[in-house]
Amino acid sequence: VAKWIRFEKVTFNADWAASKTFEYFRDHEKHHGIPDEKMKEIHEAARKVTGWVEPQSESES
Amino acid sequence: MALSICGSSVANTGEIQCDKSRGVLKKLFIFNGSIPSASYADEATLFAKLVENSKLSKTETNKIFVINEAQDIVDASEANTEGTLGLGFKAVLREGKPSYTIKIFAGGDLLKRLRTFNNQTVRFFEWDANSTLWGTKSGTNFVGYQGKFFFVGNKLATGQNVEEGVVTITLSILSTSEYFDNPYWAGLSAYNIEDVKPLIDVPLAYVSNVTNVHQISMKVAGSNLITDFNIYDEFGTPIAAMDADFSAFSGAGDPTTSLAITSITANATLETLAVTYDSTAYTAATGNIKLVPPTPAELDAADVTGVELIAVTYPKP
Repeated sequence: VAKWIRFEKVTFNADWAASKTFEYFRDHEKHHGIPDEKMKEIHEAARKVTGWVEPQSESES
Repeated sequence: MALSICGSSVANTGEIQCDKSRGVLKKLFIFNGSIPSASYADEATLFAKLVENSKLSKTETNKIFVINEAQDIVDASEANTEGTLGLGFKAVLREGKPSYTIKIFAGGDLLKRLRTFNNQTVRFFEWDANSTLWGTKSGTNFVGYQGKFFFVGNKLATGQNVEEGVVTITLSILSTSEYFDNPYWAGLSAYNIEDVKPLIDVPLAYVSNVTNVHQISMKVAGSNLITDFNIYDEFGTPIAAMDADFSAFSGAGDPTTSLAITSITANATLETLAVTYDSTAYTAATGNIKLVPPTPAELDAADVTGVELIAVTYPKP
């Protein structure tokens, strides 16, 4: 089941947001007019609720 | 001792106390599906099933369509056909089929929707003033009686009678075997029949877009020339919160390629849903976009009651 995060009147697809970098997520959703610091919190929350694990880079694996 | 084979063809004539018979009609439910025995194991289970089925999409087989409460009923059954013999014997040769003329209150828009049932063979349940539900059985399934409905109304009122907003239903019953010989009932006086709800279609529609951010309206298609009824004020915010129950697809014809929705918000300026699609997938998408909304049951669980959102398919702008 997809997870979603609600901020004020906007509901974000947490699964999708967690899979993107913060910068990509912020730019993709900039039309909502939400300040960057709030967008950062939303992105972090999305990664938390979805249990996102950063993929290991090739040099680390 | 008389010689008789009646025992193999007739029933005993004793009567149990408080035997049921049909009371005054209150509501009709068009129901072309079936309720399995497990779902009428007790009154509470049956009533829960009725409520559940009323909140199904109209595309579902077990959907219950609720007709407004009856305000007037006339028995318009065909008379029995009788025959006589020359020396005075008279007998019923053929039983007339039951039929009723029923009046309900309904506006012009609802009448248009009701008339989509005209002369179609459907099945229906009766709900009477004793809070008793009447139907029949097919095998072990509880089903409605077969019948044909015909709805008329929305004529100019004459000022002589209560006519404005009155819709007349002619209900013609197809099977006396079902209706008189095999009726089954359930006493549901402990429950509120108004919990079995009619729904209204609310088609989604594409309004505009800025690249991958699309504005989608939610309006009841009606007869108002100037504007359709927008449910945004009532339900825009709670519907926008139901992103998890929306899905989107892209492709030719009836799209099937998943198109991720990244966010939804209620747009107070346009009174629409602002749906943002994943920009990479959106750029790659061709043909049509299909936006599938939550089901009526999902909407009802989120307190968006009495509506069925209808999916929209539109060419990618």
